[in-house]
Amino acid sequence: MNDLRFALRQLRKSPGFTLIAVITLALGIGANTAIFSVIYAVLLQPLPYPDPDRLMIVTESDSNQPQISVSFPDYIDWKRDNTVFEQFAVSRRESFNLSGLENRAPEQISGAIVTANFFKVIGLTPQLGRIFTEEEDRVGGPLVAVISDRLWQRLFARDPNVLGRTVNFGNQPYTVIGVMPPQMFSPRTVEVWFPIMRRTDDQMWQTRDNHPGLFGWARLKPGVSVEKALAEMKQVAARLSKQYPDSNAGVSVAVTPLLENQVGDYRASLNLLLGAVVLVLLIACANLANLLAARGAARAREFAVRAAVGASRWQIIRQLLIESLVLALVGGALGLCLAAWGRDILVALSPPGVPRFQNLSLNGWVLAFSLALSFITSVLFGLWPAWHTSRADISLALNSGGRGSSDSAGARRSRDLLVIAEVALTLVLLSAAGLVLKSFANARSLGLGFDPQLLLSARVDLPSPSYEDATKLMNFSAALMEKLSALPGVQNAALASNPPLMTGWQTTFLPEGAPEPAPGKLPSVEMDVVTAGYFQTIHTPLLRGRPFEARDTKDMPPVIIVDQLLAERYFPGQEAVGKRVRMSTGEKARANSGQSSESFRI
Amino acid sequence: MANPIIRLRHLERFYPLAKGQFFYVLRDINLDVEEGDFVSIMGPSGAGKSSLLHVLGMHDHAWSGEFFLDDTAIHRLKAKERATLRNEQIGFVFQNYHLLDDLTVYENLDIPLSYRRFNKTERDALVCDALDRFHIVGKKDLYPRQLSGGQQQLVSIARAMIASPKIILADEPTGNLHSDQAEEIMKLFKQLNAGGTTIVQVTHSEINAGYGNRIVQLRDGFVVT
Ligand SMILES: Nc1ncnc2c1ncn2[C@@H]1O[C@H](COP(=O)(O)OP(=O)(O)OP(=O)(O)O)[C@@H](O)[C@H]1O
Ligand SMILES: [Mg+2]
Repeated sequence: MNDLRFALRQLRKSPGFTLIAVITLALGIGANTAIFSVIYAVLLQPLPYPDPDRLMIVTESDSNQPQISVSFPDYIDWKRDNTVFEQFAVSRRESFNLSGLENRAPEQISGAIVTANFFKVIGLTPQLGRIFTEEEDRVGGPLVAVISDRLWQRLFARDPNVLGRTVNFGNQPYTVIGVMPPQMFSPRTVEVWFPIMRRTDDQMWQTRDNHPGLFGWARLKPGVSVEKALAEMKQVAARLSKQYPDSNAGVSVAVTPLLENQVGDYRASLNLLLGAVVLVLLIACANLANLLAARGAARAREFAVRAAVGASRWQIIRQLLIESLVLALVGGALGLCLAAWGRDILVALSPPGVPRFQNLSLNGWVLAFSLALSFITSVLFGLWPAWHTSRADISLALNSGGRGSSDSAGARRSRDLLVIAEVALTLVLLSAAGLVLKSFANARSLGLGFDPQLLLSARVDLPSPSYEDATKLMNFSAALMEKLSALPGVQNAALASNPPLMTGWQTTFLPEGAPEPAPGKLPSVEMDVVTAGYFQTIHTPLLRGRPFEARDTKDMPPVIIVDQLLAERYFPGQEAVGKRVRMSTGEKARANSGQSSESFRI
Repeated sequence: MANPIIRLRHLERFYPLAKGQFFYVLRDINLDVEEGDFVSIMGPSGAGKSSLLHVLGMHDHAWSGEFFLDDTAIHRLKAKERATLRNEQIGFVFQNYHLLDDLTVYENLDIPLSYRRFNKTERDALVCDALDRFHIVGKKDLYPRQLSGGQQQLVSIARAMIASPKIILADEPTGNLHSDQAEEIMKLFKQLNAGGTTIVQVTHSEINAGYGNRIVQLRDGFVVT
């Protein structure tokens, strides 16, 4: 207790030193606390669902891609044949145009079609109303919707009479039957859930080699491990591969914990960040240790006297450690304030679409982390100088009185070592930062293959019943293009099935005359369907051949444009323009009409 | 008769000078101090009096020879063992007081107790007792820099005896005191001595030396009497 009082007095006595030390520590501990709060919120915090460790994402996989969306017939077989899952659901994310509400302009809503047991997989029950039943979830079933808490708030101001209201999604009148609780964030950012089975009479869904963007959601039976589930699912998939070699050869299955699926991508970069801020803190510690050692040398007489009147070495070390601890705690408290203040910045910097990043909070774990960190730092920067100071030679320190410092050559040498360590750590940090910057710069200069400057994109979804007819679609897009191009300030406009760099649609691909590969081994490529002005609009130069033109209608021989990468891979050393290939979207061979620059490489 | 409480044999202390030369501060000191002695060490400035006292107080370990304290061979002990022994047996009054600047008078007196096994009540009682005895109750919340040299001297003497050591080593304890106060300190020493405390003091004053039962003369590092 006396030590504590004295420590405070000592720190008050030299406000300059105290201020520098506290600020250094606040920055170091604050940065660590901030990053830890992100790591906690994103990687460590359990999902807000019951028994979240049992939630799995199940996808198909092959040698090229670890995760592919699930084909509907495969899902049906998986669900029937497995013994490891308590519930096994699928979902498909879609956007819907919401309309039909009074005093509200139509808007685009992110939604999902899911199997009825999807909610059982998640384990949450609606806060209002009910979810749809297995009976409702069928071809020809009723048009019902379960909405999110956010949508309830936004559209209905939490009106409890929302149940039974009719809302148009994609021009079809759906009845709201339930409202999910606020923590429901699956599939990510979705605001409305519909029965999936209504759609399954479509031939596309029933084809086994079509993968229509479905993702499997499963809840492990109690006591079943991820490994065991994966092993059994692999057997099931292997059986399907044998049974349906045309579609399923080489296709296996992946079972990933839901949390890992959501945040696994961020683990490496978050750990890197943590490593960087830990390094910063270490540098700060080395710095402070040096300051404290110099201070200890200046206070040599005090400790000589203390030793002479009875202080043991440990008692002196303890006193000095308490001083460091006070510094670290004050620094830590200030650091916590910095972290709290930086929270909004971190949230703003975080990737969109991962709700967990928005949940940053200074909760008990984060507080415990920064407290523990304060203790550890206080020992890190305090122990070494305390050790040295406590070794002071009493008679030397007392006799020298005011005559200079009692700093021994040894102490000075180890202080030099500390400075060297500090410089080394700084260099490590700087070079690591340099590497990160360089890879960032590399990513930037990678060459997108298009010019993002002044390029705007927008997404259009047309409700399927009203636009089922192809001519209607053509008319719509023609009208849209005409209106867009007429807008003042618009130079070019084009339509594409997916914007550049976005994973779209894949198709098998085989150059004419190439040997027929084994089933399931057909090369597959990313594809995009675009209108005539597309390359001109995104400023991608055509290397050879010609662009798509208005004359390339469906009555003309089909043409494609390939990128440089594909041309070099499938037509090495040859002129790709004019070659014919076979693709799964149509059986006819098509002619290359051109070749764009290396693009879409992600 | 029991062995002397302090026994020095061929004790030498030197500082190395440039080029392998040595400066001897203490040379071949042979000295016995009996338990209950009140010894005064006298001699001209620079004779090595303070140096000798620091050896006795186990602040200085860079000497050679033999040093027995109560039959314990100090020259064979490790630094830590010496420190333990020092805390148990010895109170030290420094020539230039060496009070802790950042502690009040009260806290300066409390410090030796805080490093020993006393509880809070015992410590309070002992400190108040000492404040009383040295007539410095009114100064208890002042810092050393707010005291005169003489007052600091008083506090440092009080600090040396507060934990009731068996031996008090005092380096010119009355150097800065008025002769009345000096007389009072000497009477106090005499009283402690009568109670069984062994006292070794360094003094330039024949009068102060008169309170003791023995005088040791030191000159150029030699004991001359
Ligand atoms: N660190 C040192 N290095 C070299 N010589 C030293 C050192 N400390 C003390 N001395 C020398 O040792 C000698 C004895 O010093 P000491 O302090 O013991 O004298 P003293 O008898 O106490 O004198 P005074 O009456 O002035 O206090 C002096 O000549 C002094 O210069
Ligand atoms: Mg002296």
